[in-house]
Amino acid sequence: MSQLAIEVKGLVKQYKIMERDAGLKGAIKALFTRKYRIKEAVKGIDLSIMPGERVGYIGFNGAGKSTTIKMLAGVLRPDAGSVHVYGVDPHEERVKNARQIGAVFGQRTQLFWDIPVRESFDLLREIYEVPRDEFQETVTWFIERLQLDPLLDVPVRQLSLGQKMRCELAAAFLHRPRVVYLDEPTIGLDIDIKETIRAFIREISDAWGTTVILTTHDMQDIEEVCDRVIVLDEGRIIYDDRIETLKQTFNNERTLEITLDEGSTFTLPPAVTGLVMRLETEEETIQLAFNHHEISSGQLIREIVNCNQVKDLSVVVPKMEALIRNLYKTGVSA
Amino acid sequence: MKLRKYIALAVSQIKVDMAYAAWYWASMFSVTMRLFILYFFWQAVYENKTEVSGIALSTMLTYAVLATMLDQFRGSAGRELAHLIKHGGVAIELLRPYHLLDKLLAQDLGAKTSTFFRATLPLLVIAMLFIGVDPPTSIEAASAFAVSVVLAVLLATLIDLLVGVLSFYTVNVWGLSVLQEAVITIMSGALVPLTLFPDWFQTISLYLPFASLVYVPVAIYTGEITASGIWPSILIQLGWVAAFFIFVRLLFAYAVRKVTVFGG
Repeated sequence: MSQLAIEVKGLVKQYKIMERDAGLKGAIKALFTRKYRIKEAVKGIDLSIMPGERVGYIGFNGAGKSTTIKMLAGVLRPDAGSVHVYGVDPHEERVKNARQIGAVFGQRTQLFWDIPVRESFDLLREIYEVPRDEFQETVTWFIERLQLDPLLDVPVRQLSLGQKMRCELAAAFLHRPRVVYLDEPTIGLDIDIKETIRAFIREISDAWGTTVILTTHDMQDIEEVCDRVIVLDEGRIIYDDRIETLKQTFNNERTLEITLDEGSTFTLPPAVTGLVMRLETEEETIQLAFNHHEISSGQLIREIVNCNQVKDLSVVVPKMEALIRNLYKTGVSA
Repeated sequence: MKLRKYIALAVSQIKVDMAYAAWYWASMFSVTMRLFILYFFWQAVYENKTEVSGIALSTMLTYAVLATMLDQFRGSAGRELAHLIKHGGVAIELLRPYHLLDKLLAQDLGAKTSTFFRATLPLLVIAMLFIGVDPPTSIEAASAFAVSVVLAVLLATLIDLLVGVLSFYTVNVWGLSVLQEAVITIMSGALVPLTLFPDWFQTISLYLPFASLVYVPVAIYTGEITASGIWPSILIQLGWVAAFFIFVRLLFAYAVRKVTVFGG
């Protein structure tokens, strides 16, 4: 039987949030009586992730992504349910689990702030007890792929965001972990560095069979790195499937963008009523969503042009981003 | 326990300390000033006396110098831990294959090693040249002093870590750590020998761990704690170190189970 990389059953996490009334009066009252409100951040999650899978774990802020990742990493203790990472309970056997995982937590550095990058790596080698020649091989490879050479002698605190993130990524993979958690690794980076980072994750994961869990708000990351998407909303999984399946599901969705001549108003042709949906937008253009299967682009354009004074129009094939937005709205269940 | 990684952490801390030259000179300057203030203070106290509570001026100055030196080893492991907890960095630390308390202890001992060579030794030379430090009363006292200092330094770190662990519960330990500073400064004997305090105060401090931090080692050196008292005093120190070591670990283990990691 092949072992699962990550197995999660009925995972629940609640937070106790202290409530207090606004203002000075509230602050003083809070000194004497404390009211708590229970917020359920994760409401019963099941996951089975195979070794070597690259999973995009997405959802709005506060959906429970980071909470789940922290429980998978052993930093937070679940209130109910079980987590196993290659058979290890991350919270009960935290140190054992720590050896087999790597992580990049968006804004927080795991490098050593005051010492140069090279020495940070050396220290990590000691901490993870990596054999010297294996380490040398890995570092040489990473330096080339992430273009770290000019950064090695710079103290971490002097690195720019993009430089730092490349070093963070290298640090997370240095000990050849079996599972890597990447919590928003591309946030705030420019396109070039994003590309470098995505290519790096793909290449390493292919070479070592590393399982990758990636949370991000950048759908391009998901599209280019992941082969599976899990969507989380308000603590529950609302979608879990291959990325191709997701694309096919919404493959026929199109948007028609129309710009009218100045002064003219838009009339929706009666022939297309019910087949298109006018999207609310802040832009000048009029946007109509339609399904390619129900009405062809050509037919819709003909109808529109007949009834309106059209200056310009274009058909847009939705990107990942739109697919996901659609998911939240319709809530296709897994 | 793999000792290698902890040694690597300690060494790395020494390198970090080397990087902050301005801070180093500032602290050297402030300790030198403190030494001279003590010198003039005791000169004034002894103006028309040959001894105070049976302690001669040269012994008192020796005590003051050594106590000031030892007081530099209070440690910052607890502050570091509190900072990690408050700013959420503890999440990253818990992802690593080491015991966080051991890591902090290793770093703290690294920091103290560099303090010893870079600050304590040169200051001791200054003190010997300009203030006068008596030699230890006997070889036995000297070796007992060395053992006692190591225990005192360990205990200081552990007490500090205890306050740090408490910030899992209170988030902001600033108030607690100010209190800790004040209590230690007075009750450890860092300012004046505990024998100068009233009897009731000495009795209380007998049952508290703070005397083990400064008073015990320095009084062993100056001979205030005489031969027969040396080993019982060291045993008491050892007891406190063991007690704090176990207590801090238990509290930490409990906190990690309970706690919410902030942020994100």
